[in-house]
Amino acid sequence: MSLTRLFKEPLFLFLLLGAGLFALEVVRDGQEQRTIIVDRAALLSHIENQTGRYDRTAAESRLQAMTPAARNQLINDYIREEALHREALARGFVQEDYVIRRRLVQKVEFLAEAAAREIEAPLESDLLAYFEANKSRYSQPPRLTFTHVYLRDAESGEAALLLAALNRESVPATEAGQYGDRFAYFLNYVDRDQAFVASHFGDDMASRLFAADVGDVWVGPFESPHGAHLVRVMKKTAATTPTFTTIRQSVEIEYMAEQQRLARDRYLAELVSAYEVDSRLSR
Amino acid sequence: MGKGLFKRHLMLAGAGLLMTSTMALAESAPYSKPTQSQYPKNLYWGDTHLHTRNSADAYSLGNMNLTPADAFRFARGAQLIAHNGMPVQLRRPLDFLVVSDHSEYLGGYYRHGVKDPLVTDNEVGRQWQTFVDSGDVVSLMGAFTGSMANPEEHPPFPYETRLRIWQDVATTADEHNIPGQFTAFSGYEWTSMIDGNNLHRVVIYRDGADKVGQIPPFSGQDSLDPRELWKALARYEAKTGGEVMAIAHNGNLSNGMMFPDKSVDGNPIDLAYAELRSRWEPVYEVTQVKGDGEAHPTLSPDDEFADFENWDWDNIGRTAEKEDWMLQHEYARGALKLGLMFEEKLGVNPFKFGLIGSTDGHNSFATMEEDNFFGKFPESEPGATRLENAMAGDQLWKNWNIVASGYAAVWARENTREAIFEAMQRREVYATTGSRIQVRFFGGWEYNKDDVNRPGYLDAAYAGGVPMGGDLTAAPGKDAPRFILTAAKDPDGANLDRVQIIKGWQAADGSLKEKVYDVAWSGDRQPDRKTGKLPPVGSTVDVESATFTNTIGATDLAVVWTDPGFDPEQRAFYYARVIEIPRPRWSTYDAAYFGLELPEGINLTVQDRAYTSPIWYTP
Repeated sequence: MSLTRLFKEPLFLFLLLGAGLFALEVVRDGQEQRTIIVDRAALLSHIENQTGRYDRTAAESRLQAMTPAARNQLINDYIREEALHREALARGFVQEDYVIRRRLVQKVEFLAEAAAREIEAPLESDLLAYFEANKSRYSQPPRLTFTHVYLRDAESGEAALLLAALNRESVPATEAGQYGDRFAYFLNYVDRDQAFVASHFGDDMASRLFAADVGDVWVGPFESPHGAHLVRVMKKTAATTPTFTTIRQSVEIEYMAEQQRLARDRYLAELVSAYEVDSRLSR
Repeated sequence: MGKGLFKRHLMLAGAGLLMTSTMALAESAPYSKPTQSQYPKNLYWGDTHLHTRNSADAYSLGNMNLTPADAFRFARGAQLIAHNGMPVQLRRPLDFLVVSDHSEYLGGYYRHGVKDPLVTDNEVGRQWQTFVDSGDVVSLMGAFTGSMANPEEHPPFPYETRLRIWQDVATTADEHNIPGQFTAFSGYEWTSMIDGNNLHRVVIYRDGADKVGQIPPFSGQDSLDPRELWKALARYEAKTGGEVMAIAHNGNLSNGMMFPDKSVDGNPIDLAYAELRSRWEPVYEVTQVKGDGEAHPTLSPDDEFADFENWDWDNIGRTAEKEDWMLQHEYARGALKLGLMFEEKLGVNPFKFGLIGSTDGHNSFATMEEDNFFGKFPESEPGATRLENAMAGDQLWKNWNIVASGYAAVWARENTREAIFEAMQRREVYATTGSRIQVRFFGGWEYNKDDVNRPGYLDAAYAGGVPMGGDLTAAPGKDAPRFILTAAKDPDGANLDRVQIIKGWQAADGSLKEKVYDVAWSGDRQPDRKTGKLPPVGSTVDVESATFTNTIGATDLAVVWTDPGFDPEQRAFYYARVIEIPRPRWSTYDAAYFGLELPEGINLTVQDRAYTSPIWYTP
C-alpha cells in the first residue's frame, strides 16, 4: 500500500482522527460557531484537499498563480463546503451516517486498548489454573503413521489378490513405492491427524484407517474416491494432552490474550453501564 | 487395472522378497529407512507478507486492534472477530507465517495512540504531539509521508526506540514459533518508494530474537536504494552469525523499476548489482492481493491464460500511468527472460528467483480462499459495499479489483524455521493464487516416459535430476532435457484443467523468447489443429448461487515431458503452471451472499493456479 498516497487522503485523515491522534475539537467548533473564517491557511488546505496533493509549497504556488476570478471561485467553494459540512453536523447527519458512526465507535473502543496494555504479568498459579480450565484445547488428536499401495482402478478381486501377495511375500513397508500406481498425494504419511488423512483419502477411509490395528501385515483394501488402497499401519499415537511445563509458553500467550480481551470488555462494559437501558421490546 | 499391470505387481512382489532377505542382514542401515532419504517429502503452506496494526497504513485504515500475536494465532487456526464484526477463521490452518510490518515508524502509530513513552518521549513523538495539539493534520501527515519518499527530511525514531520496538516484534515471533507444528518468522517490509514506484521488499530472518533483536530493521529512512538494503542484510549476518533474505514485492506497481536496466542512481545495473540481488533475493512474490504478476497479455499475446487479475494501470503512488515498456520489468516471466540476457552480459543472473505467493493483507488475516476472503484492509472485509468502494477510503483502485491471492508452498523435510528458510534459499517452493494445489516439478536427462506411473517415482526424480528451483548445466550430447511434472488438486478445492510448462530462452541472435506448452490435461480434449490450442475445460459455475461442481477436470495430472525445441547452446528456463477449472470469484460469492448486483466488467469466475519455481538450463 502506498503510504505517501494514504497520507494524502481526506478519509485517511479522518481515520487518524478516529484513531485518537487528534481531539474532535475541530468538529465541535464547527457545530458551535456561525462564523466561517477564510484565511490563507484555510485556502491552502482546501487546495490540498481538492487536488489530493498535500504539498504546501505546491499549494502556495497554485494559489499565487490564480486569477482573481479563480481565487474567488476557490473562496466560494471553500465557504460552501464549510457551511454545508456544518449544516450536516447541525442536522445530526453524523449520527445517521453509519460509516461515521462506526468510526466514532471505533475511536471509543480504542480507548480500551490502553486498559488492555495494563495487564500485569501473570503468576505461575494463574497460568496453571488457566491450563487446567482449558485442557481440552491443548490436546493433540490421535495420529497415524502408515504407507500404502494404491490401485487406481482395480477390477473386483484384484486388490485382494495383491494384498495376499504382499503378505505372502512379506513385502516391507519401505518397498510400498514399488507396487501399484502413483498416488496423487503422498506415499507415506507420518504422524498425521484424521483431518489431514481425510483430506487426501476421504472421510470414510480415514475413519476406517484410524480404527485399523497397527501391525506387520498389509490390510485392506480400503476404498477412497481415488481407488483402492492396501495399507500398512506402522504407528498409532493416541490423543495426548501435553503437560503444563511443555506448553507453558502457549498457555501464557492464550492467557494474556484472554486477559486483554477481558480488560477491554470490562472497560467498555463500564462505559455502557453509565447508560440506562429502556427496553421496550415485547416479550 | 489391466491384467498386464497386475502381473507386474506379482513380479515385483517376487523382487520384494529378494530385497527383504538382503535387508534383514543389513543391520548397519537405519531401521527407519525414511530417515535416510535426503529429499523433502512434506508440503507446507504459508504467508510471507502480512501486516498488523504495527504498520502505519494498516493502523490508520482501521486495523487498530489486531496485533502480530493475533495474526500468528489466526494463522494457526484460531477464530477472531474481524473489523466488520464477523467471526473469521481459516478453513485449514497455515503451517508458517511471516508478520512483515512496514519498518518505517514500525509500531509508532499505535504506540503514540496509547501514549507509550517509548514513542512520545523523543523528538519525533514530541513533534507529532505538537501537530496533534494544534490540529495540524497536514504536517503530521507530511512527517510520515516523507519517511517513504524524502527520508532525509523525516528522521526515524531514535535508535534505542527502534531497537526496543523491534525486539518486541522478534520476541513475539519466538513465542509463537513451535518447531514441528507451526513456524513463526521474524520479518518486516522495507518500504522504499521512488517517484511513486513500489520497490518494497519483505525481509525474513531464519533466527530467533537473540540474533534478530540485535539490529533494528532497515527502513526507507536508512536508504531507498535496494543495494543498501542488501548490504545491511550482509552486515546483519556478519555481526550476528544469523541468516536473512529479502523477497521483492510483486513488481506490478513499480512502473518498470522492480527488475530494472538501471539502478536507482541511473547507472546501468552491473555485476555488483547482479551478485547482490541473486545472493539476497532467492524468491519473488509473484502474486498477492494487489494483483497477479506472472505474465501479462501485452508481453505474451499467445498465452490465453496471461490475462489474469493483472493490475496494470499505474504505480503505487498513482503518480504516473503504466507504459508498455515497463511491463517486462514488472512481470515474473519478463524478468526471468531479462535475467538470461543479463547473465550473458554480466556473468551473473540478477533475476534468478523462485516463485512464491503471499497475501500482503493489512488486517492481520491471511485469508485467500475465494469463498473465505477477508480482503486487504478493514474496508475490504466482506460487506455489501466492498464491490463499490475503493481502497484507502475510496481514493485508490476499486476494491472489486483486489485478488484473493496467494500463498507460498514449500517442500521441506520438517516444519521449522531452518527447513523452510533453506527451502526458500534453494527455491524448492512455489506460488499459488490461494488454492492448495500440490505440484512437483523436476528436470534431468535420466527420466523415462513411465516414471510418473510409479508410486515411488520421487526416488528416481531426485536421483536423476533437479527439483524446481534447480539448475541443469551440462547437456549430454544433444539430448533435450526431460521434465517430470505431477500435480494434484487442492484436496478441498477445484479440479485441475491442465498443467503447462513455460519455457523462456535466449535465441542465438540474443533475442528473448517464450513458449507455453500444454503438457497434460483433463478429459479427451484435442488441441486445435490450426492453432495448437487446447479447448477450454468448460465451466460448472452457477453464478446466481455462487457454486460449482468437480464434474469436469482431473483430480491429478502427471507427465514426463521432453522439450521439443531444445538447443544445447541456448540459455533457458522452464517452469510449470497448473490451472484449475473455473470456480466463482470471491466477488461472485459476495454478490450471492449479500444479494448484490455485480458491477460491470468484473470477472464472474476465476481459474486459480500454481506457478512453480523455474529450472534453469545454462550451456
